[in-house]
Amino acid sequence: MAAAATFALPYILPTGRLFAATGNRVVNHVVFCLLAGGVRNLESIQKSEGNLMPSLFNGTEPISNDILGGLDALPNPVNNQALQNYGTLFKEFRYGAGFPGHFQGHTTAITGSVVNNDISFNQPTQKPTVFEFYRKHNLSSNSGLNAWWVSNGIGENQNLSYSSDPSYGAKYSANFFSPLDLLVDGNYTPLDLCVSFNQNEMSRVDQMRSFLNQNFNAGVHQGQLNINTASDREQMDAFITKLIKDQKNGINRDPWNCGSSMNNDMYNIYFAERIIKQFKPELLVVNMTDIDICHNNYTKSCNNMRKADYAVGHLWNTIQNTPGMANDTILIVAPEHGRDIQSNSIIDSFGRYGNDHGDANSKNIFCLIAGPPSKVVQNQVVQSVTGQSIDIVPTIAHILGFKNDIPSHYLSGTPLTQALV
Amino acid sequence: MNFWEYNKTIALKVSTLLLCVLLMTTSSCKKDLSIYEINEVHVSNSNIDKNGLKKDIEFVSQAYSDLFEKPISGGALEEAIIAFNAIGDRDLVRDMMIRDLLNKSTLSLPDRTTINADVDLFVNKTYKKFYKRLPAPFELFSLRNMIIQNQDMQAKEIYYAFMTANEYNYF
Repeated sequence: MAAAATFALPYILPTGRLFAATGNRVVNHVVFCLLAGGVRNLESIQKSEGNLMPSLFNGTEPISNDILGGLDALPNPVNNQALQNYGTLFKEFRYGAGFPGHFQGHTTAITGSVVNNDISFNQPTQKPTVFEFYRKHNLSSNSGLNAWWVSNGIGENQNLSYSSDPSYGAKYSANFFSPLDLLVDGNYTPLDLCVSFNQNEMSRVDQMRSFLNQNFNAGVHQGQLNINTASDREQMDAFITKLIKDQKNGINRDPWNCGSSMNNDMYNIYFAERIIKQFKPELLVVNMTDIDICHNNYTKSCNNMRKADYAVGHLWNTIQNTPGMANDTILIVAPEHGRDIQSNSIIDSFGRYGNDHGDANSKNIFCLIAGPPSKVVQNQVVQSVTGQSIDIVPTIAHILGFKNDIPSHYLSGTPLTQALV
Repeated sequence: MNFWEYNKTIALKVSTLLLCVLLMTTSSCKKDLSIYEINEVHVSNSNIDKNGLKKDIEFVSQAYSDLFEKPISGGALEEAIIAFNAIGDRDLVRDMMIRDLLNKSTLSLPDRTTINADVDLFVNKTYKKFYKRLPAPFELFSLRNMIIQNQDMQAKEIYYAFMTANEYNYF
């Protein structure tokens, strides 16, 4: 009886969690980088055009001469070694059973569920997201700031912040942020002159608002999404305000000294790094999408693969230089899907044909899991067909210790424990 | 195409989209939107029939017209929509937008002398401005006391309290 009563009572953990997840954690932070836009194994791990991704993969294979003119200058990789040395590379990862479209790929990666063309682009996803699993099964006083979905572009991606599943939903949402849409000169105008009230002023405001709320009974607005607590919202407010201020002062312009080579993917990673430095989130998902230009400009797609590679290296470096996340973070990198083996008929200025996605080859991708040597098997390459996209969410759940708390019918994938010590 | 060049293109696309949306709403939903028109506001004596939660676009449009007594411009509305979509916590965006509007140099706010000259009139006007109704006697009594007892409290704070209270989220 006593034991039963003990289990029934909430227990505030030192970390602020109300309930502990039932599993042990491997590390306390996971960053999942969706190397999206459709990346073929041919150009990435198989290096058919040379090593376009030296921050991720070992090798000094020279880049094909005929596309060199289409590649922008980039600094050398930030890290001394390629990321594959800091972890396990699954060279024959698979997208799985669903249709290899961009949104389907994002949805599968973030929900751990196979989806096809029957999904809605305009509504929250039907299947719970990794953010909801994380927040529901790791309840904490500040969990909203621990779960971020940083997207290059808005569109349908904002619908992957939370699902319509009645057991989960908006109250377990990620903090969605599309920095490139907000932080454009002019777009932040509705937010850039916010008046700040001092403590006395806020006290008076609170008193008056409390009275006003007492007298409105038709409904109680608890927040449309209720993502953040009031105190978390204050931190968010300060963070957004600082980003806008930096934007106005030019601080966000070319932060990596890459000049005109800095593309949207790199900026998106840069802003994700700002979040990492500020909030040290336990779960952050960030995507890149500029590679998607491969439909009509193969060479530029290769160029953008290099930029995405540089950005991931920079991201890893930032994690390792952020106290609280260094040596306590596992980084997972995977394309959302690949591309067709056959070219389409669109030729670029370097005589190369584009590639669409939809055939069987579009399901051949890779997955890299990097982390501390005591937690992640270092410099391991898995050559055989192993793992698929639906395994990433269970892997994150396993790493953060809540896999066993998720009702089994939600996830059919299995954690990629082969990568873990 | 980098971040800034790209976004110029996006801005053009969004502008076009917004124009289409505005045309659609003004042609097909004119009846619904007429509530924002400054001179057609129905003033009620009660809040009991308020049960429609404002959508984000309705919220910001109403907030702007309540404060500036003119409709929000297409460009400002476009920027607001982008901000709402770019940040997942829309309650935070609403709060920041209100504080931004209250800080605009073009906003005319009654000073404390004006408020003190006739507190009841100020309270009545504030209820009508934001809640489209008159205060109940006990509301007038309580607000009058709060304002008189807090002589440092400025119109900006009072407006902020009204616009961030629950009732302002509803039609």
